[in-house]
Amino acid sequence: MKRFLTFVAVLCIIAATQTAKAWNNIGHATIAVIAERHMTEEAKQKCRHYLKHNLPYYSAWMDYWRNCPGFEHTTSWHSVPVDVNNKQIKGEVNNAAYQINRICKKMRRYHKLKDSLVADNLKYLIHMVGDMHCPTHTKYSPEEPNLKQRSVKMKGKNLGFHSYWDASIGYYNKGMKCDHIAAKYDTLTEAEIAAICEGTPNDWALANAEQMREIYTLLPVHCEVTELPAQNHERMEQIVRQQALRGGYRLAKILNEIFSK
Amino acid sequence: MKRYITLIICTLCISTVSAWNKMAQECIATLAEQNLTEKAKSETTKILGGDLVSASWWLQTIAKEEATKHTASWHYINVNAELKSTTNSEKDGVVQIERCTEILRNRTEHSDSTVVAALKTMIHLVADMHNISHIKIANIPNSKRNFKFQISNGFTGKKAKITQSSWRKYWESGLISRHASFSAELFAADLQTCYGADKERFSKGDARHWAADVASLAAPQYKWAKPDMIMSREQDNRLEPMNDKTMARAGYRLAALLNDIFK
Repeated sequence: MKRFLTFVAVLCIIAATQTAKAWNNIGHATIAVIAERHMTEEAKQKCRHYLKHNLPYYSAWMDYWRNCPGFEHTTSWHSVPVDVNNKQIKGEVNNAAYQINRICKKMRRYHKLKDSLVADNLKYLIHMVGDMHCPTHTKYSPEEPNLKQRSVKMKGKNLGFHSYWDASIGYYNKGMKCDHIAAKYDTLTEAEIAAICEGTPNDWALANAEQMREIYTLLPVHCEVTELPAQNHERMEQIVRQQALRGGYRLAKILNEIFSK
Repeated sequence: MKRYITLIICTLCISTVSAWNKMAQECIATLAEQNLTEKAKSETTKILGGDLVSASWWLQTIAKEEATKHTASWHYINVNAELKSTTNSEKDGVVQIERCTEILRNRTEHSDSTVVAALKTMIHLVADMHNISHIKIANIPNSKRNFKFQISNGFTGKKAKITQSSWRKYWESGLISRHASFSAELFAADLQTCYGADKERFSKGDARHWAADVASLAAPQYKWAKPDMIMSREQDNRLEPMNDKTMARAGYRLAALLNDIFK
């Protein structure tokens, strides 16, 4: 019996590690679907014209290209480093907020850019706006050792803290497809959505930096994820949903603004 | 313990290989369903007792049964050195599509179970014949075998990782797994966005023409694809549109064929 239970446990771990590969993609795709649900018809049509695809198709594009020759410099564009007081974004040009602002500025004159450049700019925006809302994509100052990324355990197996949060949308929506998760999450009122969309990418990055400190308490160093109190999981699930919605609504806002001109 | 290890290996194989094939099949069937005429939709629903999607995986499920083992070769098509489909062998996918077409056109002369099997077989085979690794080209030995190769993740140093793959696994499940989180409807909608304008062009001709068309896409791949090669991440990225393109063609062509049969 003991051997059989061990066997079942091994099967569960295999299943968990296999699906883990796709969760990062599922998070990005969910955010892109949420964005599409809130884009104007004009913005949607223009995005499709330049991309030749719907938004979710390119949501993980930056991840697939970051290791390819000529794209290495984009590796630092996936996250936002902040100072010890969460008052200032660090990394000058090497952070998601700066790059989102830079591309938005360029895209004000999108009709004067080459089609291929508009398409590439859109691919960057779709990914970076999602990524800057990922709970672990705020990089805290080394002067805050308690906010350092750490290892946690899932059914006894070591798992990176970062990987856990990257995979969290899938973790809290097992067996669901991204478009179904987006429909489940996307229930906020117009007023709530408008409030989320206020501000600039820099404001959003600094607000994330303030609020995402909580995840380091919810998921303590070396903890066993499956043994965490139910209220921790409840709160983590809330954070995951909140960040996915913020990413989706704000991406829609950015694209609607670009293509309203 | 040996039994458990065998079971674990089986679990790995089932969950990594077959499932994504199923995703591609369902996606192609969804795209086809969306492009059926009202008449064709009503006739196919009547025959199948459901939609094309539910029937799209049936042929795969019977391939391992003793009585239907002979269907395994139907998933592949054979073309000559000029990339033309000229075979009359019953082992060939195109010949089977033609056989199913005949049964469906003359459906009143056949039993209900024969008609159902013909329709389910056609749905699966029109999809499968569009898979790059399912085209066997007479003068290209590598097109006729499932060779192993490696895929690099593009990193150098500590983060560098090489994944083992095989030519068929790559085309059947590797590329589409990038969008494993999409529902069949979402993926089909994307194919429609991307290739909708080409629908009429794709839909022309018959299974023999389509075989030549897919073979013309497959043949150039064997100039670089060799056993034991290491595929770069960049090359991997650049092949994705080919997979989408063939899936879209399969969906539109399946719809065109059914629309013609049930007009």
